[in-house]
Amino acid sequence: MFRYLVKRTAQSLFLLVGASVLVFFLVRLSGDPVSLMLPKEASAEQRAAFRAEMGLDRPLLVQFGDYLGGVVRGDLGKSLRNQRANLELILERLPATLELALAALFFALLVAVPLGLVAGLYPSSPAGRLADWVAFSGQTIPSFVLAMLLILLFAVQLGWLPSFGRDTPASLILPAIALGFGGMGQLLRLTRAAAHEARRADYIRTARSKGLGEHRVAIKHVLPNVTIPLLSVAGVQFTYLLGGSVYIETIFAWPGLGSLLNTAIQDADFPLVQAITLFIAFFAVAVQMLTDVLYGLVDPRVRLE
Amino acid sequence: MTKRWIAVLVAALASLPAVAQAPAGQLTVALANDPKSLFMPRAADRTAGNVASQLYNSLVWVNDAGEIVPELATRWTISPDGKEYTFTLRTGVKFHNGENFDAQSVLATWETGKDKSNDYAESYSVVKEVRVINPTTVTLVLDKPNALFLNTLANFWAVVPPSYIRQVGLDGFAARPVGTGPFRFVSRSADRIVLEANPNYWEPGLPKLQRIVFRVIPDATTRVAAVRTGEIDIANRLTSELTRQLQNSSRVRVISYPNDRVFYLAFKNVGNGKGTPLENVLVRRALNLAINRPAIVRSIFNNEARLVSGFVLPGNLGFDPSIQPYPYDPEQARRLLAQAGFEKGFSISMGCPSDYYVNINEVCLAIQRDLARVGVEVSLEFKTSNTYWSQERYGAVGPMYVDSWSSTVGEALPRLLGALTPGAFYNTWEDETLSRLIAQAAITTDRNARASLYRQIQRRMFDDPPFVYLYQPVIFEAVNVRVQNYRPRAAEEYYLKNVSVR
Repeated sequence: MFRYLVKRTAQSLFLLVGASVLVFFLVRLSGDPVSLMLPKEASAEQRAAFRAEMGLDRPLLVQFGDYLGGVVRGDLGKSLRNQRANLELILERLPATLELALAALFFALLVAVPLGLVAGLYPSSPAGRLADWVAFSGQTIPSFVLAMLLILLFAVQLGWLPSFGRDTPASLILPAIALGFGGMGQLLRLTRAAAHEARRADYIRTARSKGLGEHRVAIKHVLPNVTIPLLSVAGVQFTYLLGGSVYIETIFAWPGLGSLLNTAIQDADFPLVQAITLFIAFFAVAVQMLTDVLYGLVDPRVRLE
Repeated sequence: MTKRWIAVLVAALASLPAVAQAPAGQLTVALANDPKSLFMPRAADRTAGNVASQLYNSLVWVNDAGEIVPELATRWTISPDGKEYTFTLRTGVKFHNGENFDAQSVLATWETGKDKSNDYAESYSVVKEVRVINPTTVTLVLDKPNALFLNTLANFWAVVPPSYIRQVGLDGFAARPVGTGPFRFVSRSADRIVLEANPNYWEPGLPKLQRIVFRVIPDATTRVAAVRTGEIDIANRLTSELTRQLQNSSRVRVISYPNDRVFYLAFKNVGNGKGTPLENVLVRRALNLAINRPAIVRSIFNNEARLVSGFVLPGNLGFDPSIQPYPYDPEQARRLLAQAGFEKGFSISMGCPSDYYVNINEVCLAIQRDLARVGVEVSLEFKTSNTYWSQERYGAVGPMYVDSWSSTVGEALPRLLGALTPGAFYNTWEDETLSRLIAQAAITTDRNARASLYRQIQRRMFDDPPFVYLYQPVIFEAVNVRVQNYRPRAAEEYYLKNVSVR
């Protein structure tokens, strides 16, 4: 287990360094932040002063060295626009994003697991056909379209739920559904396939022949075997939800990392874009490692590979 | 019996003004983006300026009619050479933290404002000296006369408390700003800014609201949804398409007003514009005639934009209504091109700030199509905004480019100075006659004399056009019917001290 962990950590570090390099140079390809930060009337001298103040006038490699040095010391720099420490901005927004991602994952699992089990065990039942439809729409309807439809129906027409913001627990419902819907489709198909396969497995036949009821077979014997692939996919899903919530957070005015990243990109706020991306990459790697470790605990075969 | 009723009525009426004076109710306003800073000299975005301006006062204010009126100064005199402004200050005014307002506050405002790290440092550094004569008298000394100095004061000089700034520093001040304005700062988090009525505000009967909550809602569709549900009271930065779904709403009223902004197709006679056909005035007139602007306004903006004749817009000081926009006349355009020696047309490239403004891509494509009809082959260069504006004199794009310029002072001077003064960062057209007139207007403090200069500038910009004036956009906002007295101005700015809610 220890060697496995060491190997995974080394891989993760490599991944993080790669991500930092990529982000650093990519954001700089997008142009000049000064023209967006200063009023149009600003003079050439004022622009030069701003560049110098923000360190943007130094050679790219020097800036990169500074950036990496900062990262190693845990200093993610200062936002050009807000003039505040990036880490402070990120930590302020992190709880909202975690909350939304967890709620989206919870929603996805809540629908996908029971429906997938029933659909896998009884493919030709109405539940099976419903599952086909849900899985298909989950993977084809773009999340931002779904978000708009949800707002129009549940906030504007019916008036049941807030249309934006993070004020009450009810505020969480629509963005969580919009964000979780795509992943739900994937998780549903996975559960259904695993359940379908388990249906013919020897241990299920044995369980049935012992005289166990269908419900008990599904919950005690099929579900645990579905859990293993589900766990690893849910881990991947979660990291995807963290980084992929840019649209959803923006549409619902959800004050998380996604909407912060969106603004930072629009403003060409290089240091903030770098910091958020690196932070999400770090988080993704950490969650991935955690999933792998859990996986190893649940399934000894993984450790031995 | 009747007498008693009259007495009751009189008593009730007498108590009315007292009731009306107490600030009441909450107004919720959507912001299209997270404000940059609430420290005015760093608030270089309209959203930030709109939140911040509720917190502060300046020495003078521009009222809804566009007149300069007293605010923290009760009166002022200007020296005959136009360089010294002496203000008599209002007494008994306190900052939100209890600090007294006096001449030292004006000095501190200037000192913190002109700090090089501020976006609007130049609005403060036009003053070279602040002389504190006594606690209620202060003189601001300029290098040279400045036509819009009082506007600059009104727009940018948000008066700040010196002791508080010394105590918390500029970053601390930006986090918890303090002014003398009608509202005071309560809190700011990632998605909202909360202000409440300043109980000691010096203008009697103001403000009328107890509380203002600004909510950051970046997506325009969501802003419309939220104003429909009543979650917010005011949604701005909307398009006409979006407001169409609000037409039958009994809860929301749509307001629209022309923005003090001109969209134009600019020509260069500097940099890569040198040696191009654009240097010939006949060509520039031909291009003005060749672009079907009425069609652009009709089909791209559903008639919700206005045709303009130049940089001086209707409502701006010195606007000359006798100058009509160039008509659409491709025949005449071809004749002028032939006269200029380009009967076979020519090829040229044109920059377009991709998606930065509403429908701008469609406008650029329409220009390309119209010019092709008179033989001018335009190759379009779509660039993202930060590349587009990255280099001096629009170095990143070709000899023609589409752009816009706004003004917040009710006069065309800021865009004239920015676009047509040699040496300005974004100047691409040098015309000696024009720049002399503009420089003259910039130092002419007499309004009538300045208006006359604007008329001459307008005439010159029509006869020898440095640009094709495309259109003036119309702004759309959606406002809950319970909101009273909300009057946004042509630069999308608003003051909320007079606003109340039912």
